[in-house]
Amino acid sequence: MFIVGIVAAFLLIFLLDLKKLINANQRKTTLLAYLLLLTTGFSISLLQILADKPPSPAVYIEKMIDFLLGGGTP
Amino acid sequence: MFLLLLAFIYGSSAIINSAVGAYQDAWFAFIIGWFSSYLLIGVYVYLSLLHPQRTLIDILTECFGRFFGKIFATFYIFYFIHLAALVLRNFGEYMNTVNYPDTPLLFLLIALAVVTAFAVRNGLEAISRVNEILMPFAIFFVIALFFIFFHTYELKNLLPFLDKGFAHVLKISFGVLTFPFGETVVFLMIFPSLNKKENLLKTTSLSITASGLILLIITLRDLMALGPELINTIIFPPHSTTGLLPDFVIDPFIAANLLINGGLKIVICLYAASLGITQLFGLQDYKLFVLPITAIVISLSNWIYESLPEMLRWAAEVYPIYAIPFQFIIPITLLLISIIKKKRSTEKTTN
Repeated sequence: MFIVGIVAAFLLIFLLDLKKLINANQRKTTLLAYLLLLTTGFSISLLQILADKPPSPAVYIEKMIDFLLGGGTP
Repeated sequence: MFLLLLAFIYGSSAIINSAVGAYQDAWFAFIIGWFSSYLLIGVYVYLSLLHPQRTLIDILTECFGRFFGKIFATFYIFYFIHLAALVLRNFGEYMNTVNYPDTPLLFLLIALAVVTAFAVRNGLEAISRVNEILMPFAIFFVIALFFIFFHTYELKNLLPFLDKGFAHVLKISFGVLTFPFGETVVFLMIFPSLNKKENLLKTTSLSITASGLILLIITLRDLMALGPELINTIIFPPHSTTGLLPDFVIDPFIAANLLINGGLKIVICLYAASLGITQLFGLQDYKLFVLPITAIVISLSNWIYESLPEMLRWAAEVYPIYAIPFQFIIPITLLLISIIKKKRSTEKTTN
């Protein structure tokens, strides 16, 4: 059910922007950048419906800061 | 510009106060953070004045070279998207906890994000015009609420002064500097669009003064009305303060303030991220990227924290350190490089 909702939402976004995409000046680069963003958003959304959800970027950022500071965050 | 910066700084500070960790010295920690912000935002303004037609992305490419400049630009775009997600989550959690406890968080996130996305697609001028209409109401709410609660204030809540030591207050004030003042680094994407750049320093200074005063009023109001222990224990102090007057329904004013300013903060972040992507790929129209970026912001916002306490802990402990490269190291390095480059070019012309 969730996956249908996600696919529908991203399809709607694509359809809303389709006219602008067709009329864009540098169509190849625009399409590349656009699809890159859309795929990123779609992937992040899909990750959240997995039964075993991966840790969020906040966890990785915190781990990286801990590593750089050589200990825990204050 | 004055109201845009004011609304941005006020933003989610309408519900979350980064100075409360200093307990009864919260007002003092806030003042130190606020006054230091003049220097920090001065760096951003000076940087923008040295590159009047360039956004942060252009400045990065010019100072660090094409390859490293684009890498740093990508980090900044992530930071803007992340910031939008954080503010959106603050908004969602507040609404979910206070106003709509039975509504799923994701629905609240989508509702605000869609409105902000279409605001960004209407352009910066439309955003500024709407802000001009709404912002005076937000300022009025804050001042009115300060006086409405006057009889509940107790000056003893501000004492003893520096009980936990000056070092502790200084640490909290750094948090105040990074949230909300340092986040104005986003405006390096907006400053080039201004008409009268000669007034930039004056306008930003006035904006910092006004927003600082508003946030100081909120800090003093919550501190004097609730006391230092309580503002640290409860999740949203402004909401609890409104509970002190059970005969009046004042809470919608807080929610309205959050909608106006938090919404605008998300709009600015979305605009900066969309424009950043456009410039990174050397394209023209930023509006095309608004909806996909909004989709990322919604997903990230829903994913980023497991719970409300985790959000507050992250904002207080991790965010001030995470923000250092974006708000301090990179802008100051850019400024130094720009000054050296300018001096060299002046020397070359005189020779």
